[in-house]
Amino acid sequence: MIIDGWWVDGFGCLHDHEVAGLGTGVTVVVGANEAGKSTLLGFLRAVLFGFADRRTGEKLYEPLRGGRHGGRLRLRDGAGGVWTLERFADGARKTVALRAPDGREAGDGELRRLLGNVDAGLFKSVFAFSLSELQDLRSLDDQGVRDRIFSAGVTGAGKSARDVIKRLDQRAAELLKQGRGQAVINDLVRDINAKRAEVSEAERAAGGYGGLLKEEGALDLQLHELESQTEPLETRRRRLEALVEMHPQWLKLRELGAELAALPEVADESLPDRVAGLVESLTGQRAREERITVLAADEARARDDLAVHLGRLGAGWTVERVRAFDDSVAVRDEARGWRERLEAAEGESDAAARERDAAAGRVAALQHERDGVAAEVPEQEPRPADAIDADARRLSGLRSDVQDLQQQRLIEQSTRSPVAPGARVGLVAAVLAGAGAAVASALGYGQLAVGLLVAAVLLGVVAALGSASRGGRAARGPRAGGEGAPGARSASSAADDLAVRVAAAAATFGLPPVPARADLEGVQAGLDGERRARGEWDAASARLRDAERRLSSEAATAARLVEAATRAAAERDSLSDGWDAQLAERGLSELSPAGFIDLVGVIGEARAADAVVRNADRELAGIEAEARRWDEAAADALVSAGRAHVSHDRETLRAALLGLHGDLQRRLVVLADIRRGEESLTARFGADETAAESRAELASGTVVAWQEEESRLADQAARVKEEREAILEERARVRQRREEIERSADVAQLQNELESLRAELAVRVREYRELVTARELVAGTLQTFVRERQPAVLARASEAFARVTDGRYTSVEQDEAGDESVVVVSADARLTPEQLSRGTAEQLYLTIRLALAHEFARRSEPLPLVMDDCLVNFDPRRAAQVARLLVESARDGQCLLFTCHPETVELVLEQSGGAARVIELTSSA
Amino acid sequence: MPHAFRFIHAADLHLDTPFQGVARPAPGVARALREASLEAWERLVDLALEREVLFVLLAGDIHDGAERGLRAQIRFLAGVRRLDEAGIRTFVVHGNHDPLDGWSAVTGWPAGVTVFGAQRVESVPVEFHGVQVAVVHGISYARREVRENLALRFSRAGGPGLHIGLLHANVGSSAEHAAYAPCTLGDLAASGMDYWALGHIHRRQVLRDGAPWVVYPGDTQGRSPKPSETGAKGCYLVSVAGGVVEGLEFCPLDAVRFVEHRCDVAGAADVGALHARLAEALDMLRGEHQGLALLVRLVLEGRGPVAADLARDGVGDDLRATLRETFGVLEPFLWVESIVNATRSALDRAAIRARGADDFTAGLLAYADTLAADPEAAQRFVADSSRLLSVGQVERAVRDLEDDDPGEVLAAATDLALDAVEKGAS
Repeated sequence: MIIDGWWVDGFGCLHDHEVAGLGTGVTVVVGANEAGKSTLLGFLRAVLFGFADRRTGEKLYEPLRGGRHGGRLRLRDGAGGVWTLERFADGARKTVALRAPDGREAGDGELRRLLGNVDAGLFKSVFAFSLSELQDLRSLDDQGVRDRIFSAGVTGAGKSARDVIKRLDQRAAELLKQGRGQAVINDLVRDINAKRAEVSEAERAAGGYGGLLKEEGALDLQLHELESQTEPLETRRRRLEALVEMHPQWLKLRELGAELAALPEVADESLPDRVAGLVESLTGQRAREERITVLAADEARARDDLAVHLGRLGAGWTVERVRAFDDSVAVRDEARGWRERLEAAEGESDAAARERDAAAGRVAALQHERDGVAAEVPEQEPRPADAIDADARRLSGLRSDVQDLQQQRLIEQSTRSPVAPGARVGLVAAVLAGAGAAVASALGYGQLAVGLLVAAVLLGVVAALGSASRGGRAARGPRAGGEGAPGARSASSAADDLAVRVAAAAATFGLPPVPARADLEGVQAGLDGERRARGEWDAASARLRDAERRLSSEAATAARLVEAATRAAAERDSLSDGWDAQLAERGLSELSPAGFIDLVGVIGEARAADAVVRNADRELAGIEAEARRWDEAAADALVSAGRAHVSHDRETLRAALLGLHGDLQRRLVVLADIRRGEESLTARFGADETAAESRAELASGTVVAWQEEESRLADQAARVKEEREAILEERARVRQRREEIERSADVAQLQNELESLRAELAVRVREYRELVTARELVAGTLQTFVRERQPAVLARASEAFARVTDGRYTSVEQDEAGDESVVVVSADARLTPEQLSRGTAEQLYLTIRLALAHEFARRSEPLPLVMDDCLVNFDPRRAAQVARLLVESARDGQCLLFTCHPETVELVLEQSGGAARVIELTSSA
Repeated sequence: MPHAFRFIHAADLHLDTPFQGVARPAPGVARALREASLEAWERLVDLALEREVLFVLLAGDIHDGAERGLRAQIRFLAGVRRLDEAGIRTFVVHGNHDPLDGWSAVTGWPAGVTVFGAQRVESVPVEFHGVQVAVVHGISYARREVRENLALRFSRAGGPGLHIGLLHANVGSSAEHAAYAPCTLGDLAASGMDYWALGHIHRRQVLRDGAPWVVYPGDTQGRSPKPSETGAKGCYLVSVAGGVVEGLEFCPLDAVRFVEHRCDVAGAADVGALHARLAEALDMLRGEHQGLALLVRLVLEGRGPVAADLARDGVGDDLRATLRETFGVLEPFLWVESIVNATRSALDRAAIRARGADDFTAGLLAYADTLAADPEAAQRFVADSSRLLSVGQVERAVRDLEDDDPGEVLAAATDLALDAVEKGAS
């Protein structure tokens, strides 16, 4: 690949700078200081491999004269195809574009292939360098440079063999590190060692199982022996405890035995119960004695009372008569019945007499009242009220008609219309008939009055019809013939009719045909007076009728009461006779029922007193008998106990009995105490032969001696117990440990975990072996390549360096120390680069670079050499030799030589025979 | 049939044995593994009771270590007590893993248990309904390493019935196991036994099916993903009639089964496709071993695009973790013990070799080929490369592991290096 041209848009001091058609061979780019030569070197590196990273501190060459940061290169491949590579940096955003000769966009892989898989570092170290970089020894000594030169073209993805080695080393280092590093295998080994220790510990613990079993057995044996010692000790100690404990009981039993011997013996086994029964009934015996006293007093009092009651009854009354007298309730009730009936009959008789007398008084009063009322009634009866009311109604109608008539007369006079003569006649007749009817009515001629009234009405109607007919005609007249004042004529006819009616009515009251107001008032006053008189008459008549009715009624009542009073008196007398007969039947007389009842009461009291006397006598006899029987039983008991009783004093008898009872009870208590005491001893000592020994020891030993012995034994037992507890505790510990081991799966689990770790280790070890073996395969191959191919490079460098130095130095060789560095050999010395002068050292490095570039081109892709003022330190002769070398090296490739020295231009032109291309770079580019 | 009876022949119970080669199992899996050997023993006892066998033969290595894990001893004792209570006799010889010089927590065996000593071959007659039907001859290991041919000590004596030799031995010097009590089939045939009840070899096999029967029942519970420990594990139920073995019935007893499944990655475009293929295979395995907890080792082999993915750091681990998440929680569980990547790089090695000597990859491949052609050189190269494993505590820990085959390591490393160089180290 060669650079065919470039276009700088903006890069440092360069702006819109373009060069084209460079081709193979040497091209000298000449320019003064600050013209942009170093900038151009940087531009070529940047577009080929990428812009410098701000973080590395390398120069960025940001545009100083405008334009986008970056530009374009035209690259020509071995086949002559021209590729275009653009690279721009817009701030942090960087773009790259490669276009293939056929115009398509190409990728990174094609760019890497175009650049022979050289990276920026290698390009800078071998192919494109400045003077200072030429002088930098490290840039060539870097192991990677040589490796990459010698293995150039072998890696498919742009990675060198060294990279492969590095990555394999990294992966291997993740698995294993020397020493105590942190890596997978190291960690696993540590885990395995730790797990082994755990397994050992668990196995050791499990291995102790047999020992634990034995230990547990030995402890069991010890316990058994100890318990065999403990048993007699404990037995004796328990007996001593029992002796001490039971000694007071034993003493008590001895005392009870002595007491029992002092108490009377009882031959009759029933005696204690009999005595106990008598003592128990002693209270009853005392009560009987008290009752006898009370009964005797009651009997005496009752006898006194009986005597008093017989005295009240009077002579002839004895106890026997009293006892025989029937004073039953029935008798007393019957007497009370007689008393009530007699009292009722007396009362009724008296009441009837009083009512009879009262009725007679009332009859007299009513007779007097009736007479007074009769005197108030007038002899002449006034006209009936309905006739008066009829007249009043007619008078009212007349008064109204009179008023109407007067009004119509006034109208008539104002219209001057004469009343029809026929009508007037009819009306007058009607009035007259009416008046006649009124008069007839007033005089009591009803039928006549009615006839007259009918006639008056008929006449009136006729008059009215005639008037109406005329009126009709009159009404129609003006329309047909225009007759004058028909209204006045009609009014006159009506007035006439009314006048007839008024006259008729007035006549019934005896008034003139046209009565005056005063006439009418006079008639009205007369009617009012009649109405009042009629009312007063009616009221007086009513009072009289009422008085007469009451008088009649009361008189009848009085008659009935007289009869009733008579019957009541007879009844009363009959009852009185009956009672007297009752008394006579009982041998009594002249006693009212009440008196009889009183007598029966006294008899009852006498009988009660008699009953008290007799009851007391009977009860006294019973109680006395019971008391005697008790006395006899008590005396028998005393005799049975050998305590004869001769006294008849009941108190003495009771005291003797109680004394006997106390002795008998005490004997029972002592016997019970003795029995309980024996039971306690048996419960404590048992009933076997050792019990007899214990009892014997109780009788013979002392508490003090026993306590002293017990104390000694207790100390001994405590020591044994302490020892036993220690053994028990130890055995529990051993047993627990043994059971833990039996339950434990530690060994199995830990072994499995260990095996798991070992399996993991095996996998990782295998993986590690494969990695490091692969690594060594690559490294070995690389070493072989370097070893086999480096001599050719050094031979080429030797030849070039000998030419440059005019044979002063004959060869460049690898240092025998084998540290990959070189030495130069002259006729009399082997010098290291540091031992050479600056210019000679630079010539050495230059010739080595040319040899490396040649080797690279041979193995991979020829790349352009770009050198920035690398000849400045060379003397003219060596500079010329170098220039020739460059021209020869670039014969099939490309060399871009930047310089600020015109003599260098001349030198190259001279060595190339003028074939070298010269491009002038001005500060304005 | 008169005098017909059955007995159980089991060996290598390795009770409470730690499981080997199972890295970081889930807690539930670890628990199941821890209980598996004991559970297998209890299943054996159940089987004996259920099938009403006359006796049970245990041909050594009842326990895994000389210390005979206490828990295992207690569980074992409980089991033989159950047998004894049911009238079933138990005959036991000790093997190299549980020699007689180890300590025992058992101070007394039930009456029906016969533990053979190590001094001489003992012969114990067995009666059935009052008639002697068998004689069991046996001898235990006095210590772990018994190199004597103990089979030579056996001889037919003791009366009528089936004569059974009970021995923990390596017949034919199987390289798979230590050569303890080595003997040959000829030695066994010459002894006059009718049935050799052997133990020691964990792979179940019938070396002779008559005159005499020579039988290894294998272990009762697989212990690791190794080939000899995979597949069904259990015991033989032997039917005898008229003093002659009529047949053997294998009865699985294992509580957890190790299974290896090989899967060709060819055609799997990516890891996702491979995961689906593996999940399907695991489902199939669960069907095949229905009702059993499984520990599965997946071996990926063949060439394919996914091989390069698998070579990347962590991809295999992720795949395994995903499968574990899916199948490890099932009941019974299926635990992907490991995924062994035995795939080959998809790179065309012939084409690389054809690039010539100047090509770096071709140089690398030539270098690897040279090493592979010389096993000793390969071993040295691998050992030198992994020299850090030979330092300090790491060396002590690695020493106990089974050695990796240097050829396999070199082959895998070559693939790794080629892929890294050609496609970039990942």
